[in-house]
Order: sequence, then C-alpha cells, then structure tokens
Amino acid sequence: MSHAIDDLELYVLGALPRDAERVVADHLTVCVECLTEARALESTVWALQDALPAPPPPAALRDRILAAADRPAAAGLPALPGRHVSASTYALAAAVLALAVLSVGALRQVDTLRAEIDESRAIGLRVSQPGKTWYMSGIDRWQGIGGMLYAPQGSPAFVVFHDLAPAPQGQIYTIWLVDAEGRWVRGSSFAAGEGRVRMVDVGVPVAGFDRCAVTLETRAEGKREGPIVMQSRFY
Amino acid sequence: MIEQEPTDDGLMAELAAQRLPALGTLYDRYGRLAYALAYRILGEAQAAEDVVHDAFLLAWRGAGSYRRERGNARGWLLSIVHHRAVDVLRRKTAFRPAPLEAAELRAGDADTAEEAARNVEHQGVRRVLETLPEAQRRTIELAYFGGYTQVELAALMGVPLGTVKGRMRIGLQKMRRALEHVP
Ligand SMILES: [Zn+2]
Repeated sequence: MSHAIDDLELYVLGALPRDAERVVADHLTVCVECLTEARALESTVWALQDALPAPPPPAALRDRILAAADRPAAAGLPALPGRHVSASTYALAAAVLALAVLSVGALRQVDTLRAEIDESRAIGLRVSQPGKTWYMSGIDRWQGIGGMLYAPQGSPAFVVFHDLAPAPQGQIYTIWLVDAEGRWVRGSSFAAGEGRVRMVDVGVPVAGFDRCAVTLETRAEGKREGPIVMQSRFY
Repeated sequence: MIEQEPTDDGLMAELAAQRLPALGTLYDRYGRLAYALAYRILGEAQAAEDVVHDAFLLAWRGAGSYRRERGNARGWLLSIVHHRAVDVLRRKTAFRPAPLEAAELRAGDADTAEEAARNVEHQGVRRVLETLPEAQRRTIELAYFGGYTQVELAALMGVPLGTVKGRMRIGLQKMRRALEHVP
C-alpha cells in the first residue's frame, strides 16, 4: 500500500484536483497512520477558519434552511459529495486574472480585462488536462519571471509565461527543448506583448526531451546564439 | 437554550434520524463559522448565504453517511461548506479573494461589539499566521481560501510544484507548533 503522507498538506488545504483528492480520501478510510496525520493537519487548518473576520449571517438564513429541510428533497441540489464534486477548469483562468489585476490595480481598462478573462479561460481549459509540466525560472537579469511548460496527454505542449516583458527591438524569445545528450531543438519564437501572463505553443513535440529553455534570439531560425532567459531544472 | 446541550455525536445521530430540531441546533453551533468561511472564500454575502444554505441541506440529507472515525461533526460540516464554496468560486472567473487583510477591511463594514470581541478572541490565531514568512502564508491562504490547486499555485506564484508543497508543509508545521502556545 502506498501512503498518502506526501499529499496530506495539499489534501487538507483543498489544493488537490478533485480526482486526486478522492484517491487520498479513499486511502484515509483504510490507513490509520495517514488518517492520524491528516486529522492533526486538519485541526491546524481549522485555526484558519477561526481567524476569519466576517459579518454575521443574515438572521433569516436559519429559518430558510429549516424550511427547505422540512420540504421533500428538491431538485437542483446535487448529491452529497464524498469529499468532492466536479473538476475545476477555470481556476487558473481566475488565477491569471487575479495576477493581472494585482499588477495594474484599478487602472486596467475593462475591455482589456475582458480579453484577458477570455484568454485565461482558454488557458484554464488546457491546463486542466492531465499531463506533464516543467517549470522554467528566469536566470540572471531575468530573475522573477518564469514559465510553466504543459505537455497534456494527446495534445500539443504549450508554455504559460508570467512577468515576461516584451522582447527588445529586433529580438525574439525562442523556446528550446533539450535532450539527454544536450542537443537543443528549436521550438516557436515570439515577441511577447502587453499583459503579465501569456500562453505560447511550444511548436514541436516534447517527447524524448528532458529539459526546456527560452532564449533571446535575433533570428527566427538556426542554432542557438542568444542568452538564456529561463530554463527548467534537470529532472 | 435547552436543558442539556447534545454532544456533536448525539447531534449527528439525531440528524441521521431526520429530526429537524437537530438541524437547528447544528446551525446554532456552526452556522456562523460556516458563513464566515463561505464569505471569506466568496467575498460576497448572497453567494455565501446560498453556499451555507446548500451545505446545511446537504448535511441534513447526507447525515446518514457521516462517520465519526473520519472526523468530527464540525470538520465534516465545514468541509462540505469549503468544498461547495470552492466549487462555486471555481465556476466564476471574475472574482478571487484577496489576502486575509482585505477580508478584515471588508468585515470592518459590519462591525459590531460582538464582532469586535470575536476579533480580539481570534487575534492569537492571526498573529500565528502573521509570523509565517509571506510566501508560506500566501500559499496556505490562496489554497484554502482561494481554492487554487497545487498546479495553479505554482503557475500563479511562479514556483515549481514541489515548492508549493514545501511551503504548505513548513507553514502548517509552524502553525501547528505555534498554536500549541495560543490559549
Ligand atoms: Zn497511509
């Protein structure tokens, strides 16, 4: 039996996708060791609930609940979830949006925001698919920026970048895949425009590679010449 | 209110037997906490009310499936509230909660003497949170109140997946230790 110890923090904080959460919940029904640890973590999480300042619930809510409970089961209310319901698709979309909002505050134009919501939704839908991920972090003067390469099963890989400034005049960002022998294979190039977050297709299949990187190039083809902006760690 | 307050276990047994007064008692005991949690996650009164309403009905109809050994009544109920609120949140794209401080500002609007007392009472817990390094605190808050998954947190905070888990682990450990000293 493989334990769930590694995932218990994620579990008690609700940070596992619903399907992974179900796996942990099932394990907890048969493993006292993990259950004991989960209970201890849960009581810590309850302290978070206790830290909540919030207005009191409306006075009528109690009656509303009791009246509804007194009626035969109404349609529209889903069955009690084991510990979860449906998978999320839009969470990253909102995360991306939150990031954008944090970065520009109230000055953001409504139509720009709307466009970002639409783009974020598209990203969210794609990120929700199972697959492998590589995180690239910025190096040298690009520290603080980064990108997550997603390689969903059965569909083309893409990278979600954050904090990437537009490429300097005459230069383009280029995505590279690196194999075990250190061979660099060129993926797509882009200039990056406005917006804190953007999604770029990798342009080549990632199978057989074990690292990825982004460089700044002056040419759209040929060998790597420019500096490395970000790269993944070797796994 | 009554002669003797039933224990949570007793309450759950009553609930499983579909005795309506038990639902009222459960609400009296945890309704406020449930609402605070939903409100904190959703940031909006009407949505929070709906989530609490649905969660209590789910508890009412699902009380038969409650198992003491899986956790106590409070944990069970609040996890229903949490799940439902996060699901509602994840279906929306336009709003995501700000860090805890923003919730404090919002709650200030509806301040009452009782609320103020409650805030004092819980300052210890918040002080514990505040002792955590920013990255750990934000990771924990965004996961629990923001409904973000590990992958989303990694993308949002620009760190590898393992870092997200590590921040949660260390942060929760620190909280657990610190809470042992909070009265
Ligand atoms: Zn186990």
